[in-house]
Amino acid sequence: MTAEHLILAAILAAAAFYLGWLAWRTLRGKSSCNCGCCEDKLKRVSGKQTK
Amino acid sequence: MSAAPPPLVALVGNPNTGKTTLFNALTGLRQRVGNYPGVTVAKKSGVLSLPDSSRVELLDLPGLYSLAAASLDERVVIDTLCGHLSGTAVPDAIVCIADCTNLLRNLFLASQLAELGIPLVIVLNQADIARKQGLSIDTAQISSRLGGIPVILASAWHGEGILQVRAAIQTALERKTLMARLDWHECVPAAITILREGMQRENIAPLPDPELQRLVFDAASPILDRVHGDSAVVERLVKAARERIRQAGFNPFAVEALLHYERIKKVLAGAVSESANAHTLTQRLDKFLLHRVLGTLLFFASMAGVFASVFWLAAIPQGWIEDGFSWLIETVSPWFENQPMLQSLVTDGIINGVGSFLVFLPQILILFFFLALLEGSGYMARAAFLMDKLFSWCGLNGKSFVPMLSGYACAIPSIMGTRTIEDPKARLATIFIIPFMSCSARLPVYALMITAFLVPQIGEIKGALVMVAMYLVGLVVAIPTAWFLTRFILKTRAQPFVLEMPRYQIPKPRDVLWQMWESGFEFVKRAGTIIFAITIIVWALLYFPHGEEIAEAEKTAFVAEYAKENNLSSSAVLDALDAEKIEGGDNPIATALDHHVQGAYIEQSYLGRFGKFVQPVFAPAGFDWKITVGVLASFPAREVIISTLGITYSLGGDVDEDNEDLRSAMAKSTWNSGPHAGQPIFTIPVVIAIMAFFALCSQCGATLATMTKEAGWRWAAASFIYMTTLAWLAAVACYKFGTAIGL
Repeated sequence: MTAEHLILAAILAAAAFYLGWLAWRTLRGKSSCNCGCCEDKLKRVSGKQTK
Repeated sequence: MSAAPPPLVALVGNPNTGKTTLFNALTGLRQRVGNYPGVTVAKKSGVLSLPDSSRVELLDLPGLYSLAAASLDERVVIDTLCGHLSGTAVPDAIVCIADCTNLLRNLFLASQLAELGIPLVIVLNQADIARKQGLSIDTAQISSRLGGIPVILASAWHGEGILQVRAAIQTALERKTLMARLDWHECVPAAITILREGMQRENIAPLPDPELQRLVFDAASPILDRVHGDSAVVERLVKAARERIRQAGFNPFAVEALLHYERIKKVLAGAVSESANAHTLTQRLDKFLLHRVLGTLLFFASMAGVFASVFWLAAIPQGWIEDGFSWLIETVSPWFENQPMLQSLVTDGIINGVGSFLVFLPQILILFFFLALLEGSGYMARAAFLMDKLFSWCGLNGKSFVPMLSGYACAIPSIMGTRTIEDPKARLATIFIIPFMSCSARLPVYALMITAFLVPQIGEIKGALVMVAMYLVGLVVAIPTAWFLTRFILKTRAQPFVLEMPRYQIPKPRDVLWQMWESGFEFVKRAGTIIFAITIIVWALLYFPHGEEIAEAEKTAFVAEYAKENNLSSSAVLDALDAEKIEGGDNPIATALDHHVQGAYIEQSYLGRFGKFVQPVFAPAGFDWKITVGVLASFPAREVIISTLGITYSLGGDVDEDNEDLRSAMAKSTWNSGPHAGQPIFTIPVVIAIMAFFALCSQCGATLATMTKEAGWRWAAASFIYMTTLAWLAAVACYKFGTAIGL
């Protein structure tokens, strides 16, 4: 395995990890979208609505 | 030991009184300012410095007309002010902002707030407009009639009176001056006593008087949810209290408004002198812009104008961006000369993928520039009013149109914005149809298809009209969907729609630029995060396996085919290939072989094989395997199709010196095999089918997650199945119909 293979494997692993993390956050309702405004709105609302 | 938290001050007011602008002016925080309810759905807080350098926490609460909370966001206000919101203390003071051009209605809320017994500051905002209208307001007189509380004349828009507001907040916190309460008719305190004593007798946990008032005055108060006791008993007690008010000759549901308005009229008498000029510019413009026929035509004409401008103005900067990425590829490519895989990842994958997406940045900026102009001028609220009749017809609450309008930017905040809709059934129906609105993620898809295939044939004006049509497709499908849902499944009735018509004004350049910056920044951020990551994965799936045997097999097949076509021997073709290579000049045979090899690599890649496996599902819509791959990759986020097509055509050897960009590469692509072999893939029916699919398909994972959160997973699943099926049917219908009529 060459250095090129190793670099490529690291890049792919990082991208896959990042996408997996985004998917996990979305499913958990931590963040519904990748844009900052929605994330902030969700944070502000979550757990603070009485009913 | 931790320091005591800073005092809490709540900012409350009617919608469209400039509350958010005042909040921004006081705290320095930025927040989008809109002309319709629903923008400030969630509460927001910031730190405010007072003249004595002390700090307080300022809460920006959603706008509301009265304390009779109906919608979810109105409940948040009541719960905050009564101290029922977990994690938030009862405010130490309230700043009530009122539009000083309509004080009679705006002070109703302030008069209600006096019942809470919290120190109050009244800010009479939009003083500049009041002056223009010839209004003169004696704040000292109003203050003395309200018990000496600070009453400040301000214009948050122009920064006028902000220092005085800070000083008034400090005074309110120090002196704790309460606003004089309404001198109720004796029947009201008597009714409250009946309710309080009745609850005591029945061992029901006591409630403070302001909340007991709400139980008596409001037909279905959300405070009922907090009363711990037999609901039938509570209902009987409330009925008895209301009966006491009826005996005094008042309607219990109207007595509050009647007495408050009587009091406010007395407070304002002589303190406000009104101009006789009734016909302002706003009223004159509204005669045309709110006209049933003329207003609707003007609305559609303005939208068509916006989209046409998007094409005209974006063409030049798009060319610059394309040139920039071509230069980048030429510069970066030699750095990886000895690492072919990394070279392909960086140039074919990342630069081509992200670059094809970023090319649409000018269109996004131009679209949001015009939308910000329309919103900032006060026109968007008129658009909501014009559409109200249509929405009432299909059984939706008129308020549904407001979040749906913002759904043209992004469905996620719009779905959350439906919390302003009181009727839960109307809210569900609205949530269900919001994803049909063409969000900004669909714009690059439409723009790519229209600019690459339609504009060259039908021109820019007709191209713009197609764009308008694509934006209307969602609405055309959403209306009958809502009608069916509200009539047969949810069985709801339309409710009256209250929308404040803001004055027409020249949009503030800062706000317009801020909105452009926000949308542009989000677009670029997506390019640098989710699109970037997906691009890397898609590249890998389209690149591997990249075995030599694929190239060898393709070369053998190519040589045999070329020899047969040109009546040559295989060895002669191989010699020609070698000879051309030695000479080092342009070699059409070697170039053709290279294209074939690149094509074979991509067709036999993991994603290529998967795309070919799934392609029969989309074949009835005329999609080839590359489009199929793009469609499948874009289920997490719609705009991924652009970067995926960028990589697919780049890796396939379709983007070269002759086809410098994705658009020309797509325009020249043909079917390699099958019944359409040799024919162009992107015919007009296929292009329309792709746009129809993207207009209707439920493709954004984040939208579905928000829908699950707001309405439950069943609604999200139903939405996904319904929209995806509808999109497929529409794509097939467009392709079949377009082919049948010879497009």
